[in-house]
This record gives sequence, C-alpha cells and structure tokens, in this order.
Amino acid sequence: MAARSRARPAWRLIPEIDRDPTLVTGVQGVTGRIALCGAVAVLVALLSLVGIDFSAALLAMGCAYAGTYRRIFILLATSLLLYRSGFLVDAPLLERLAAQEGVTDRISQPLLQSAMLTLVFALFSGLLVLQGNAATALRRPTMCLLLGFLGLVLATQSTLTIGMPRVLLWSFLVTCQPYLWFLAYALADAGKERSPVWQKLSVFHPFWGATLTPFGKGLSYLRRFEAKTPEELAVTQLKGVKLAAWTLLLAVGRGCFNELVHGILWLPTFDDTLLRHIVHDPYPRWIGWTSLIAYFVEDLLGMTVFGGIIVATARLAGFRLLRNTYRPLESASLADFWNRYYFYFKELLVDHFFYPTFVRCFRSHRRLRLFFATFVAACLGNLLFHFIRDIRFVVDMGLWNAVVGEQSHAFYTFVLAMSVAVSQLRRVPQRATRGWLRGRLLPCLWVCGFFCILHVFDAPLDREHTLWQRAEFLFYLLGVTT
Amino acid sequence: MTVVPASEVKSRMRSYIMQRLLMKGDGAPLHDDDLLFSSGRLDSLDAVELIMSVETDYGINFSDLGFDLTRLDSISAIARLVEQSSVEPA
Repeated sequence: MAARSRARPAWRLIPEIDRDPTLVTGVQGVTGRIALCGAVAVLVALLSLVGIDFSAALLAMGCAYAGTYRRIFILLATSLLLYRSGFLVDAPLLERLAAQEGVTDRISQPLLQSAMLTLVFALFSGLLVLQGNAATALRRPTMCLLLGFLGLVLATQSTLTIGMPRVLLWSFLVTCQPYLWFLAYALADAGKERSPVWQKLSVFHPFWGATLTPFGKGLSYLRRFEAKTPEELAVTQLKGVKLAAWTLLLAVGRGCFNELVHGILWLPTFDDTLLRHIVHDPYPRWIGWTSLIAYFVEDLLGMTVFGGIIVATARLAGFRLLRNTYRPLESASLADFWNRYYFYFKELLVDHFFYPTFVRCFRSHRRLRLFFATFVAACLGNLLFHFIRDIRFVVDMGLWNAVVGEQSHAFYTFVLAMSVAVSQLRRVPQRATRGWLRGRLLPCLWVCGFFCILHVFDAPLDREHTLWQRAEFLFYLLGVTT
Repeated sequence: MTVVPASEVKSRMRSYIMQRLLMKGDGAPLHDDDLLFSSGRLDSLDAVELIMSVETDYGINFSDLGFDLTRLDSISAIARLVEQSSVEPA
C-alpha cells in the first residue's frame, strides 16, 4: 500500500477532481450537492448498463447529508437492504434440510427464520455488551467465536441431533454465518468502542456492500475514516465519484475482454478446460495456458470492479475507505500482491490470525515468529474462512466429505502461506532505483505468473475436483504428461 | 521499567519510520499525528517490524497489552503507548 502515496503522473485518465479546490468548495453548497447527486445518478445508470448494481450509491448520498442522523440512516439503510435480501439467510438450504430430516410439515420456515434472526441479533447484542465490560470480556474473542461456531457444526453431526434439533441448529448457524466476521471485529473493538450496541450492529453488512469479509471492518475503523467536516466530506465524495468512474471503465474493459476472448476467439473458460482434461478429452496445451491466463485477468478485473463499487459507495456515504484492489500488477513480491489483490480479506486474516499469533508465539525467535504467524493467517485462517463461508457443503455432503473436499484449497492455502512467508522473510526494502526491468518488470512477471499458476488449485472453488486431478492438469500444462 | 521521555520516543520512532517510508519511495513529510497504517503508508509487515522494534527498545510485551494496531498508528500514539506501559507495566 505504500505506493499509494507516491508521486502521481500529471496526466490521468480519471481527472483528480478531489484535488481541485474549486470543485471541493463547489460541492459543499446546495447547487454543488445537486450536481454531485446528478453525477452519481448518471454513474448508477451507466453501471447498470454493464450489469452492475450501484443503486446503493443513492442511499449513500442520503447518508452523507444526514448530518447528526447519519448513524440512524446507516441503521435504516442497512436494515432495508438486509430485509430485501432475506437477511442473507440461505433459505433454500434450510428447506432442503427440513425435507431431509422429515420435519417439513412440523415447521413454518418464515416463522423459524424470524425467530432465529431475533435470537441471533439478541445474542450478538448480549455478547457485545458483555465484551464491553472488562470483568466479563473474553480475552480471545475471535478464537472463542470460531470454536463456538465449529463446535455447533460438530454437534449437527451427532446422532443425538437427528430431526428437529438438527434443523434448529443449522437454522441458527446459517443465520449467524453471514455476520460472523462482523461480530469478530465488533468484539475485538468492544473494549475501546463505547458506542451503543445498535450502532455497532448497524455496520454488520452495511448498506454499501460486503461479502463475509467486512469492507470497513468495524465501527471504530469506520470512525477513523469518517468525514468530520464539510470539506472532508466533499473530498471523500469526489474520491467516491472518481473511483466509481474508474470502476465503470474497468467494467467496460472486462466486458470487452470477455467478448474478445470467449465471444470472438471462442476460447473456452478455465473451468471447461479443466473439466475436459478430467474426462480425458483435453484441449491443446496452448488453449489450456491461454484460458488460465484469461481467467487470471478476468479474476483481477472482477475483483477490482466488485471491490471498487463497494468502496466507492462507502466514500459517497462519507467514509474514506482504502481501495480493496490497488494496482496488483505493480506488486514486486508475493506478499505485496496479496496485500494489493484483496485488501480487506488480507486485513481480516492479519487482524484475527496474524497479529494475535505474532504477539504471542515464538517471541524470542524473530524469523520463526514471522513465519509461523504468516502461516497461521494465510493457511489456517484462510482455510477456516472458506470452510465457514462454504458451510452449506457440510449440509449437502456431510462433514467428512466437505472436509476432504477442501484438499485442493488446503494445498492452495499451504503453498500460498509458504510463499508469502518466504517472501516476507526475504523482503529487504529496496530503494526505488533498481531500474525498470529488474525493479519492476521481472518481479511483476514472477508474481503474476505464480498467482496465475496457483489458480489451478483454487478455481473453480468447489468440492468436486480432487487435488490430484488439478495437479494432473498442471502437469499437462507444464508438459510433464500428455 | 525506566520512564522514557515522550520526546525521545517520538524522535527515535520518527527516524525509524521515516527510514522505512523512504525505502518505499515515500518522501512525504511525516507529522506526529499522521496516520501510518490507516492511511496505507505502512503495511502489515511494517507493523511487524515496528512491533519488534518497540518490544526490543522499550521492553513492551504486546501479548500482555491486548494487541491493537491503532496504538501504533501514529508517532504520538506510539509515544503514548510507551509512556503508559512505563508507568503501568503489564
């Protein structure tokens, strides 16, 4: 992220509107605000033409101008969007489970989901209150939270929970799961963040967007990035407009790239190439390589567009969040790429796995300490995050098959962790005078090549393809097998 | 634990952090209250180096304090942390 503060070129594709004093002053007035809302409405319309929903930006503009009612606005906007999406509960999964357990006729799904939502948010509130009190606070809240969640997953596998108890347990888990990492941040913050509990809950899946990964972490982090003065708000919103415009360009670029690669050149997707190899009818090797590289480019563009929309919306709401994906192709090391590719996920792993391990384990062994903490975060934390994210596989396939199905992703996280750890240990900050070829191009090619190849073990992230099938495909690409 | 004057901590930390920023090509001015990590000027690996430096130089054990990166997020914050830890050793 250090590159964020480097000198910028004079000419830019998207003008630096946030640095223009006239504009910054202008959008603080009524006319300027109306013009800004108009510009945002145009961006919403243009983005919808390329299939991107940016409508939350209109809520964000309301949030920005809500003044002292901003917190209430966030709560209402977040609740509204969560209500619209069924509070992110995987209802079809629960219906399937009820049928499997033969209790469909004994329960009303809407009633059960409402009751579970009430229970879950009451429990979250209680936990946050207890964590805010030094006498009752958990010393390692994330670990307790994860152990509690995984303990209940184990309990669902017991023969004692067959039937209704299993449905109730899964209903609880599936209701909790989308908010788990938001709760982890809120619990970690509880000691220093004295805001009312409803304010902390209002940023659980905030209206500007998130996945299971919180974009903007918790309330205390957001507070640090919140615009405090009209001028800060103007600059933050202009940054939001700028990012939205850049994201629009990237989205158009992604569309053109897809059309070129799959529409005009008829190149198969990476998934197709892998599947064809698995059924012993492989495409030529060069097509395999091309589809892998195309997938890597599509993934980078997709991640940049997806994160850009969320961060742009947060900025329009008055929160000057850092970008999620920031010039990943400029990465000079594996650790740097990971930092630039999916910033908020990396932050989640760093905050909840890396630092807690780093400050506690192997304190007198400098290199081992760094290596171990990186391994815990990038491998174990990463694996655990994805296991929880894809918890539906446990319902559909059973615990054992779901765990075994993680083998390929486990290998991916293991290689990733080892590589990032070695990259961190080898990192010696270099003055930026190594020349373009040695200092920029070669490291970038190495980093991109590494992550591109590693995708073989990560995509598609399902539980169908074994580690060996993917390894065989890689051997085929490398010319080891025919 | 010996109480280290805040001015000395700030001066030492400024020099250390400036050095790391320069290594990254960031020569922008650095003030005591400038955010280091929240602003993106330093990353998590810099945090690691900073933690080890503070541990070594001032004998602070972060596992006892309950680690919180915001306590290292500016030169002033680091000076406050060192001061508090010197007065009330964990």
